[in-house]
Amino acid sequence: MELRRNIESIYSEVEEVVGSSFVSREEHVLYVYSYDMTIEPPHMPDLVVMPRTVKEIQEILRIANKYKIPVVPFVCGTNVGGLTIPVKGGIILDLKRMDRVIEVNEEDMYAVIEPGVTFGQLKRLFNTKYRNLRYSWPYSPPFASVVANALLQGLASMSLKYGSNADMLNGLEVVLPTGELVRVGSCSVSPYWFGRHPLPDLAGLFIGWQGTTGIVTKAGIQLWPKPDFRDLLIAVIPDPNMVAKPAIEIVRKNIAEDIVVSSWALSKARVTKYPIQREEGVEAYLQVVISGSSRKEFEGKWGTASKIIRQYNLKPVELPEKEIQIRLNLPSNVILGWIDHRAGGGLTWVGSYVPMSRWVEGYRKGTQIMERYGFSPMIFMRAMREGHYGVLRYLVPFNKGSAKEKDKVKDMCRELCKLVLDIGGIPYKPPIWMAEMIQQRMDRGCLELMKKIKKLLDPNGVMNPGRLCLK
Amino acid sequence: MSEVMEMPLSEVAEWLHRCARCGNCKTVYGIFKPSCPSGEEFKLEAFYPSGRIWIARGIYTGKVRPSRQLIKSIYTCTTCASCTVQCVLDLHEHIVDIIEALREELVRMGVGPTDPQARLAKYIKMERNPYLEPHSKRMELLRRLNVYEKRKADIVYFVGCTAAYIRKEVAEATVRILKECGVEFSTLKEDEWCCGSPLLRIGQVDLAKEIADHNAAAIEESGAIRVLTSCAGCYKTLKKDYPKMGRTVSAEVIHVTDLLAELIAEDRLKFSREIKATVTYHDPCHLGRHMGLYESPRQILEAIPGLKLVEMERNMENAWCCGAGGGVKSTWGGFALNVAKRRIEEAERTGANFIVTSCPFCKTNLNDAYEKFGGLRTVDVVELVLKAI
Repeated sequence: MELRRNIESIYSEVEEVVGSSFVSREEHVLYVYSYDMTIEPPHMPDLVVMPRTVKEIQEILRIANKYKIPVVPFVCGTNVGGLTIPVKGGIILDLKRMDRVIEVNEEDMYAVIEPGVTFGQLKRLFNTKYRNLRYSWPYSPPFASVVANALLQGLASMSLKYGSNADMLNGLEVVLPTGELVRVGSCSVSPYWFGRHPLPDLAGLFIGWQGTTGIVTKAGIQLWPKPDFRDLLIAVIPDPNMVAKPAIEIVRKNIAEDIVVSSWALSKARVTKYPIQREEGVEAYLQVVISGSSRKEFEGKWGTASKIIRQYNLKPVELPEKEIQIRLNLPSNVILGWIDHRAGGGLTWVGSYVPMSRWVEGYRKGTQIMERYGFSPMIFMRAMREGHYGVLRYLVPFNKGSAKEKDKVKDMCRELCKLVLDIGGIPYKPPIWMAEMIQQRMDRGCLELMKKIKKLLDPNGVMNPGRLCLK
Repeated sequence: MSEVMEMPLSEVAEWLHRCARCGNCKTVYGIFKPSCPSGEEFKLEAFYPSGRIWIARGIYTGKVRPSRQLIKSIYTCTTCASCTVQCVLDLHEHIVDIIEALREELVRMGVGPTDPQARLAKYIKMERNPYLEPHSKRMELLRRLNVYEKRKADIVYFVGCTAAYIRKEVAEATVRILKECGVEFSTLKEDEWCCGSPLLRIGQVDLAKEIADHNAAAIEESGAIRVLTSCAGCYKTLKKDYPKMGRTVSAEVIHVTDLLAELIAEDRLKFSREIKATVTYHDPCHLGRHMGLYESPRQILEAIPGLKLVEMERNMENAWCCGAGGGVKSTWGGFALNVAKRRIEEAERTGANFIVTSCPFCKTNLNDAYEKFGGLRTVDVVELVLKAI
């Protein structure tokens, strides 16, 4: 009630900071920020604000603390976890206007970018100016925030070598919940954003916290040289028991740039409407990206991967060039073309990082659960960090127009989440209910530490309250 | 009635929850430059296609109350349809229909259109054009060019309001070229009314239907087998929107660039003068994305001796809008000019001496932006053709 009473004052004060064009409390404007593509229930914010500068963000956070109004960072809202839905109302801080690439250091291979920079924007920069550099591209639409993806520990095309995109963050500039500005990583000491060591790794205070500990205003991201030779090897996996072994063996040869396993349903969904018909003898597809700086190196790696594929009697698949480029030339606009395959425009998932040793079990049991609920088993797996862990993701396109279907999806996702936890995995980008399930199994000391950190950084609890279930 | 165009939201309801807000509509794939003029200008989600679709859903389900506050985000869409190209879901071809259905719904609710747009509708009712020019002067230019009296011909030239009153040079060039090539044509005389395009874009569908009835009857009465337009908006409206509204146009609707390309192919249009210049072609949204007409204007320009055609980075189906369409220019003139400014800057980067287009309304807005910000001037294809014959 108090917040409602103060909203006029908050609006006026915020308007003074950003100007009248970039703040709104109009119902229809707020309504658009109240939902996302997932099953997570919508909730209206009280204001939407679009700052342009760090100073403006600091001012807004000071106002938020004064009135104890929640602040939820938002860029593109494509996180597939309901993470920008303002569950307690408050201010949506839409960071799209902070879209500058501050620096590209070719020699030291990093860029410093603002949170509004999208994958498409970054790709354009590489296509037009820095042709020898590349980034680790996720299977996300081009209009998604590079910084948000990294902060949420998203996986991407170079995760096999370097881990999640959070591992590729060299440093951060952050406005703390109380408005102070800090830099963490090498940029706290040096003009170079070369890495996070050798210092206490304070970037961890902001990575994986779903915007509950501050607003990241700049991030240093690692870039890599583009290889001269690169291609995609695809083979059919005929049996669910084989979804892990060939992939793991190729991982251990240290020859692949990326290794992905896609279930039959996921592979077909982009070009088929629900229900997807399964092809005889096709359980999944193994996709291996091979690259090299010389033809000899490339061919050597290709030959080794091909040999393993043959040893497991997997049938290589010849894809049309266009299809290969869709997979190699990320970010792609059609990679999520299956979202609407149930004619409903909704997408939710249980995405997780799991020990690769449990892939088969996760795949088999996940398939059973999804089929039991009447959903095609759209399952995605990727080897991470040289095989030290892997992705196990159950993708659930659904009909947003059907309340009944949404309820069914909710129940199914709970089962899938439990499965992931049972096999020793941890869901990423978890919505609140999933965070709760994670915390039920979390070491008490760890949970208490998280709560203490949150309290310390955000004494008034203004940053994205409710998220991560940090009561 | 199953056609989407004239229906309010219930007729597009099945598409209202189909947007995943993946963001594809916001950027031109491959080039990764902005695709949505209003989103780029105003930035809030409510100014992007995905936001508008969700607002439409909110209105339809009663979760968003109709109010004048809605006007800005709903009526700043130029209906350029770039989103329909970038979106990869089945929804893509219905996005503009949703926007126009939403506008129609808002008109019915007494919320839309904007005041300047309402005046346009009033002017059209009064004088059969949105400029409040006397209807009696609509054919003034054609009288002066001695093509008014002709009663019957296979082709009837539908001049359009902008070419009749504002961009007369476009109508004049069209007429002179046709005469030069020996193409027989007539006009609808005073029976030519505004095609109704501005009304359809702002949700004034009932009046648009009345006008369509009149124009369709006049075209039939003319006995022509082809209706020629030199305006991209008229072309799209007569050819696509009239049938969607259940109004049959008895003659084939053809844009002047298609006709001129035909005449060049038949060797009836010959060029005798060189134009030593480098030009870049701006695809009008109503001609390009809405109707798929991309090649003929380029064929014409490439056929003009001495002329070099270079492409802008965003061209054809990815072209950046001029900013004027969808009723935007009448209400948000500054925004319309900002959009045009970006287009001119893109054209400048090609090294062209000037911009060529094939829509008098695009020409107007681009040149208005030139007057304000500088850069490059814009001419119509027919003006260049006339110079070269």
